[in-house]
Amino acid sequence: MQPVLRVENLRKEFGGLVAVKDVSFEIFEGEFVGLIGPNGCGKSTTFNCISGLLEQTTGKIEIYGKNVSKMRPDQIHSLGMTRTFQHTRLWREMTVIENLLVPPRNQFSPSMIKSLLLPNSRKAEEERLQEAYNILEELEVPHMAENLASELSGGQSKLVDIGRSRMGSPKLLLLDEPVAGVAGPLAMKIFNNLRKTVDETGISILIIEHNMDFILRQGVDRIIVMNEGEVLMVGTPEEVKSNRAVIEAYLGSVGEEE
Amino acid sequence: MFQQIRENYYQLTSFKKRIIIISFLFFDSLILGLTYGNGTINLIDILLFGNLPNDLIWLMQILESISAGFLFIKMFFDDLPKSNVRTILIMMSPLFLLVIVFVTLEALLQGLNTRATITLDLVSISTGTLTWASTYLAIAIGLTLTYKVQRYGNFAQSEFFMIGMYLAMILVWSDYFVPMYDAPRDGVLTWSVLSWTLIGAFILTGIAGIIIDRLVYRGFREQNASPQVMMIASLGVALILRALTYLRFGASRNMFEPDADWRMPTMRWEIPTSKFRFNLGQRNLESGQTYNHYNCEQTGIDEITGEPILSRIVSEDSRPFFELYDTNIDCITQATTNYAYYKGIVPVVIFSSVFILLLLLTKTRLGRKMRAVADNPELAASSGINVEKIQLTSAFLSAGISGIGGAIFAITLRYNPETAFTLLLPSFAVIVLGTIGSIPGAIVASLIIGFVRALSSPILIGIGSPLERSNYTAMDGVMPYIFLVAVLMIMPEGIGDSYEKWKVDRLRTKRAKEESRRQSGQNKKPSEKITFLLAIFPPTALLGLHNWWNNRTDKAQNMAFLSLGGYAIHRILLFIKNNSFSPSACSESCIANSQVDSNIGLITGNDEILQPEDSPYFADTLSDIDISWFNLMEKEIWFVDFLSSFDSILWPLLPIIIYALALFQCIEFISNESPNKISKKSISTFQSINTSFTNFIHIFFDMADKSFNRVTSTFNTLISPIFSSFSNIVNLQYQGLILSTKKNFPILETRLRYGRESIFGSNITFVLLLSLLFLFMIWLPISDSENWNFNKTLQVSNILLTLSIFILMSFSLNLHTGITGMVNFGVIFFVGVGAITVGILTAPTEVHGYGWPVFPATIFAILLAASFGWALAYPTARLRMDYFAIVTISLGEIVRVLLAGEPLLRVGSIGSAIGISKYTLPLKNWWFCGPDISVGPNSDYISADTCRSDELVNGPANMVGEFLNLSDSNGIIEPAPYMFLLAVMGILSVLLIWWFLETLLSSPWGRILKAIREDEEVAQHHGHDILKHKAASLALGAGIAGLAGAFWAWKLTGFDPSIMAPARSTFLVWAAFIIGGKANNKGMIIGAFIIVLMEFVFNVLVAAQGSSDLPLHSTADSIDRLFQWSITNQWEASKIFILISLVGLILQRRLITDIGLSGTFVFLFTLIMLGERSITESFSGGILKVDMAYVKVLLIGCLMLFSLKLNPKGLIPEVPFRPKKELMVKSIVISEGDDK
Repeated sequence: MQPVLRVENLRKEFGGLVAVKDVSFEIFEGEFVGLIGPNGCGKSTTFNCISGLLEQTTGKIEIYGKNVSKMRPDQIHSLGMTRTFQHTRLWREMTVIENLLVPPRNQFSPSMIKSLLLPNSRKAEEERLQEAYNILEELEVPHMAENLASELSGGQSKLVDIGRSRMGSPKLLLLDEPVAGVAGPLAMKIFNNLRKTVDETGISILIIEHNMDFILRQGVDRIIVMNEGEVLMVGTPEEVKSNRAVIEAYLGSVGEEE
Repeated sequence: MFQQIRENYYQLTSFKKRIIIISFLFFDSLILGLTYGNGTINLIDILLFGNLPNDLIWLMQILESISAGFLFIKMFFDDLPKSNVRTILIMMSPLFLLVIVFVTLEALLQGLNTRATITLDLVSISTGTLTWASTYLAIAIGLTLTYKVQRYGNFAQSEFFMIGMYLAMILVWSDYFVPMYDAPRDGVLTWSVLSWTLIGAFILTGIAGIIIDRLVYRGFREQNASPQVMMIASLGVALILRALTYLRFGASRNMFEPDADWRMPTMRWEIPTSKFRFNLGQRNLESGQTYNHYNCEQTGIDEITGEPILSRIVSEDSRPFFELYDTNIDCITQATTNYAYYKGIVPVVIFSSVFILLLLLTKTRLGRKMRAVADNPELAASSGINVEKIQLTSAFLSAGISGIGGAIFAITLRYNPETAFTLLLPSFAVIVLGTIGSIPGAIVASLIIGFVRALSSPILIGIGSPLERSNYTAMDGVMPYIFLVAVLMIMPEGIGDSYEKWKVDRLRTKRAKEESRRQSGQNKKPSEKITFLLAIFPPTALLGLHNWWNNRTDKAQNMAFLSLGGYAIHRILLFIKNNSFSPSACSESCIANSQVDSNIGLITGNDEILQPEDSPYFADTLSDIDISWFNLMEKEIWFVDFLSSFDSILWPLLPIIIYALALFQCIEFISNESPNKISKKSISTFQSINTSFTNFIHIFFDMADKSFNRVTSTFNTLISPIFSSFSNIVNLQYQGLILSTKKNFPILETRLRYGRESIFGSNITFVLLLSLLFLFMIWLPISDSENWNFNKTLQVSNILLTLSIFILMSFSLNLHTGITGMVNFGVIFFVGVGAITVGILTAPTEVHGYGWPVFPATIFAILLAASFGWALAYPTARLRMDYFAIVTISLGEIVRVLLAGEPLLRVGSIGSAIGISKYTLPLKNWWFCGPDISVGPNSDYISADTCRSDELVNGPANMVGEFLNLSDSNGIIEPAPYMFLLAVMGILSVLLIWWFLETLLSSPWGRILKAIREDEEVAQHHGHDILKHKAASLALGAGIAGLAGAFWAWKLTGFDPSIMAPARSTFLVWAAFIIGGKANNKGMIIGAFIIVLMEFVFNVLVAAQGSSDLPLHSTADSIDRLFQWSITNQWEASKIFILISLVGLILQRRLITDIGLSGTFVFLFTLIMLGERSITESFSGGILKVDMAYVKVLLIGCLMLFSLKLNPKGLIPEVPFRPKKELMVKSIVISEGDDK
């Protein structure tokens, strides 16, 4: 089976600093994968390389078999990949609902002229709006739809960001700490929802989560553990839990945090 | 086969691709195009049936070749691997570019079969470089500091330079320095007045900086305003400051003359020089012609003296391509170049102030604090730094450094308030090239930009007449902008960035080396013998080389800096001593005069004792002026005496101390006994000095702050109970009112939930404001009360037409800046392209036009402006927001200067008059003659004007005239003015474009643009090709601006470069944009209406100023009287401001207190410094009269600031997208149903 995302010997240097040494992994269709690791181990840099924000120093990144090394973020997006940022970056002076209406694909189809000059008469626009409200509903923030994004609290922004990334109907979703700062029960619900989406629609999700204890309980298929710019191990949550190397490298820090 | 070539091409690396493109461009432009006239552009010309003017073809080919050169340099930066070769290539790139320029010119002149001679005088280029570099640096350093600490591009920085210029001028006007200002020339320079003026300019401009910071920027900082808002606010500040200067000192050119002797022809250095001479183009000589080389050969030997006879080489077949010579025509005397003292003093003053500032910033705690604040204000505040104080210090220093620069620059030329603004853009070029925020980068970059400027004038002079473009000599001022635009394309990060990276890299490699050495155990100590030799040998010891040998570069730097700096100061003081009235000093004028043997003898005669009778004003008896001259001269002599005695202590003492220190350090190194002991001690002394210095600087602020706080707190305790109860009552009332409204009108509550930011509220506000402005327009009186109907129609049409033009421009700006978020300071660039294109294309061929019909020409102009917009998007895509602003404003300026200098853009007059005129106006013939009469040289009606004066012709104009009842004083119906038709056309296009824009912006494209404005990176990650969208937005906006340009051209019927001055166009549009409301086209209409009406009100006021029977005379008169009062009754004004500050204290409003204090300061200053003399100097005939044009600018600036501060979203703010309620409710219902 062809992997959705394939990262091979990825290396990224900033000047003389090596942020990512050597990372390889694969993600298959319909998989829900967690990416964990201590602070500064290169998780976000890996994300940035995959999404085209940064160009890797060496190595290869393939999405659906296409080499995306030299592609712009929007070109990579067109292959079906969507990501979120660690620090939530909503479009602040736009309403929440408008934030959600920007990402959908094919906004100018079928006829560009028609969609530009007759903006309100089309059914597609209404459907998009409907979908946006449904997603907000699911994320329990429909009452904020008319507020400006700048008026949201930190946790609400995270939720809207997840919603926004789902509006782009991604086939591969990269989430960078999506539930940091979201209250426990809601965070659980979000994870359950993501799980449900994966099972129902068959998309693939790669999720960075700082809190290892949390992600071990959340029913992800596999976990990739990174440490100091390298992949420490890949395995099911049970395997990760019982791996000594992981415990040595990582669980200590979790213990401190808890 | 083509397919295969294409495939192969795409597979190449970008390096190879670029090589191919560059070689093609060079080959096409230089060889095919310029030399043989068969390049791509020539082919395009052939396809257009030879309609392109020949000049345009070669101009474009020059552009092609030079851009290929820039692309070549870009390749060094992007594609070469990091190595020393790359560094060397990059360092050499300016020279390489120079070569490209020469090769291109050579090819061009060969092709045109003409020749040009360019003489480059090495010394004059270097001195020019120094003078210009320091001038730009004075502004650039201020900009850098503001960027560093306050993080915005300050467009008012050049106004601080201007304040410095005018302060220098008024300080010497003052009664205290009177006899010096216009004393007759005596051949010796005086220094005390100059020094006090410079110091005064530094401090006073610094205080002006603080005042402006407190009044304007502090408020924005507290609101956490974005850098963009600060930048626009600085634009408003710039308008205000410039308008005030114009009002007070007039537009006439002034000069700073601390001593008339500076202007004496003997006051200069004569520097031996070498010259390069290039003969470009056609170098062959026809038979009979000869060419005298500048190089000489020996032709014989003088029989009497035995010395060789030299004469110039004569050539008969061809001129040399290149000559290097250093003698005059007689082959014997050394060629020299003069460098006037007054020009040489500019770099000395500015560079030394910048070095002192640099020391202050790098070596003191103040600098560290400033860097901390620059890095993260919140963090700095939490670690105990008083951020506000640091902000004020930075405002003081950045303004002060520009002020002292302005003061010294003012000595070099006659200036007016506009002069400083012309220096602003090159200064931006400096900081961009030197990386924003880096002072060393700015210094290096200022030298490069100064070099570009100094070099471009001899080249432009050389090629001017052979290319029939002698006006181009005036273009040397624009070269920095052109260079800036090119630099931004090549290296948007600038020099400073590369320097920092290089430093980091060097540190890293150094550390790595040390690490490896330590690991291998070879920690070798530097040789003691060499240390000893280096320390014992005075020159190396003074430069601190022994420290360097022992790996202590910082110490070596400090010592070298001290020695070199001390030496420089010594030389400067020596120069001052020799050219002053210091006892026993003898300058050249004293040497030339055999009767005296010292400078002072020149004025005192042989007795050499200074007496009041020696005064140049002395007639028969002693008068006051002689006494005051005498006092001044005594102070002067004391001053220069002090300087020279300081020098005689400094120079032997400083090197001796440093040498002793070096010996001491040497002993330390060799004895190897805790080498850090002394350094620790010295560090602690240094630190304590440092601390006390920083404290000293802050003492001033502290004292002011503390006393101020004490006064305030006393007041607070007294007043606050009363005030708070008062405000409570008011608040309660207000809230009660709102509650009752909401209770009584529930519908309004839902629809007006978001106030003006809802569709309903926005519409209501729009209609209200529009009708208000409309009524005002109807009310607006006209100066001529006869033919009221006709004149009123003319006025209203004029207003509406101007309004349409401004609305179109604001729409364009709104699309670019308000919606897409690209800060466009070059609206006038696109407008200019539109106006020029329409003008040139529709003008008849007899006056160098192309005779196109109006409609296709307009379409073409719009498309051309749009394509410029489209093309601009790609190279500027990666630029920061403020860089884009700088690029666009530079483009506007480039077009403005081209319009003045380029003969291709001169249409309408056969002679050499600048500008474009005599073009066809749309539908003018139809308007006056009707559809049936053909107009032309062969018909009865030569032009529309003949129809107009012919009463028998009944065109549409006559019908409209009848309809509106436009009768003149005799009761005869006049045809409606042409302006009426244009106004109707303007309004129609505004409506059309408004509808078009609204439709587009409510489509998905609108929200994508907004997403780009908010965060383009995220927008890109959500799958939108931001480059494409930005380009489309730029193109659309540019097209709209092009249409505005066409209307403007028709309105003016002829225009010259002055319409493109930013203060008359771009800044006004920005004011409309700010006042009206960003990202809302209705706001644009309101904003433009306000600005346009202001323009017309002031037109009426200007007319009314003179005669008492015109309307609004009393208003004009009272403005005049207020102005007179503020100039003559400074003490009264200060009293009022003192009262205001007291009121501020009572009300506990800091802003009011600040306004009061600042006003008091300004008026007390004018009271002391500005006497009778300033009035006679600034106002012709001493008649105080206000120039309404600048009152208008002042008002617009104030409106911008107030609007930004009190109503930052504008009168009609953006309406966020909120879909209709019903849909949302439905969705909730549906999803609830799902859950069940």
